[in-house]
Amino acid sequence: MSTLLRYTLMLASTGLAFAGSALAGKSDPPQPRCVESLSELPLLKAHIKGERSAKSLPFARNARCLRFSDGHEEPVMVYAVTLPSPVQITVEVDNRRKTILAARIEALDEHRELVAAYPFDAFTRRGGHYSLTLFGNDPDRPIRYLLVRIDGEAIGRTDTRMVSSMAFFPLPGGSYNHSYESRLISEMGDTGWIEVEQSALTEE
Amino acid sequence: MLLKRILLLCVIVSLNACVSLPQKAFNKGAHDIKTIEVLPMANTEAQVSYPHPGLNFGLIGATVALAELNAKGNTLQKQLDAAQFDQYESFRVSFDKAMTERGYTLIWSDPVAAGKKDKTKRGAWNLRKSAQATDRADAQLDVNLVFYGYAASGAGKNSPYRPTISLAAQLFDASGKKKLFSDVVMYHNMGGIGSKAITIEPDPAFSYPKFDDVEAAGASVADGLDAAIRASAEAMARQL
Repeated sequence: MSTLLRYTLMLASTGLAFAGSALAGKSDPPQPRCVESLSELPLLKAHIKGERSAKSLPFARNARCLRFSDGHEEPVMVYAVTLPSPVQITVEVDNRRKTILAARIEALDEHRELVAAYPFDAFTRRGGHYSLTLFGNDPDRPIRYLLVRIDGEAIGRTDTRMVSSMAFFPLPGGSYNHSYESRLISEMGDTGWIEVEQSALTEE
Repeated sequence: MLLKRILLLCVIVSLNACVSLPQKAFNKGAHDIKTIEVLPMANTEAQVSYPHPGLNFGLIGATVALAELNAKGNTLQKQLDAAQFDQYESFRVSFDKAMTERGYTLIWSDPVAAGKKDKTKRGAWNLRKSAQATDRADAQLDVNLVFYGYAASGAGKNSPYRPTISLAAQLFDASGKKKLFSDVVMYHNMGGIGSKAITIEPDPAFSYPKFDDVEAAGASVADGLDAAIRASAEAMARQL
């Protein structure tokens, strides 16, 4: 192997290593100490419909370690639901970089007790994302928090979507558009983006 | 008729750019609904769609494209007639079963679908613009096939024709004044990543590289559509 070729390969591999570490830095969950109680976790505010635009958050960067009563530990996110009942809460899981967060949602009351749980199978597949809509109707036991966990049952599943892609060929005075079928294959895992939105129900 | 064809092309080829999607989640816990009257479905004939190259060449090209798509749609309809396939009955059986499993009793109109000369005012998704009051049920469902047929994502043989369904629904209360739910299911959604419709991937068992293959399949093209309608009906029922 020539010296030039060897140097070129070294540079390329160094570049890949840097790119890999940068990606790892973005997607690997931080590892602060594990807390014993939900009340010790930082609260994320569920976006209120109509206020600014909703924001998707990467689970890996926003999740914190929670030690459950049986001793096992796992990364979770906690959203605060600030609107009174009746309220509609919509959870959307994006499909980015061929990754879909296999989320499990637990609605909690003001004492952080479970009101209802929604496995990933409760989500509805809509185009490029998955969504879950739930309602808090009970004024005596309003939903105050949303716990986002990982649904182990859904991890590793794949999502294949057939979509129509388009190629543009420039022509004098315009372009020729050629459509064709293509496939997008994504995997469900413990990284990915999630967005939670709350909206008040006034007509129910 | 031409406008209707153009609208259908918009729906199937570039959904988001043409019409907004009716979408209102059903708050089941806030309503005590046991019996639902299903309003007569819109009359829908089989269609064939794909991004015809003629659409690149102005009005004349579009006219040629629409004429060809229309002819192919008529061919498909004849095949389905030969198979004695009833799309409304296929939907009724599947949807009724799925809704019964969810605790509802459905009251169907007879016949299930309106005739070709139906004057009901409908919007872009074949959904009624309004509903009348009813004393036969707790709520009334307006559910319609918007697109029903075979569609391809492109013009080449690597973009096969697949069974394609768009199903839109809206639920009114008994007074007909309050809309409780609306949504759209797309089986073989070619609308791209931005679509918010409920999407179902087509069964690969029903795939035809060219329209000649669709024609050669004869009456068996009904099997693909039956599977598509069944899956779409079940997906819609899950929202209720």
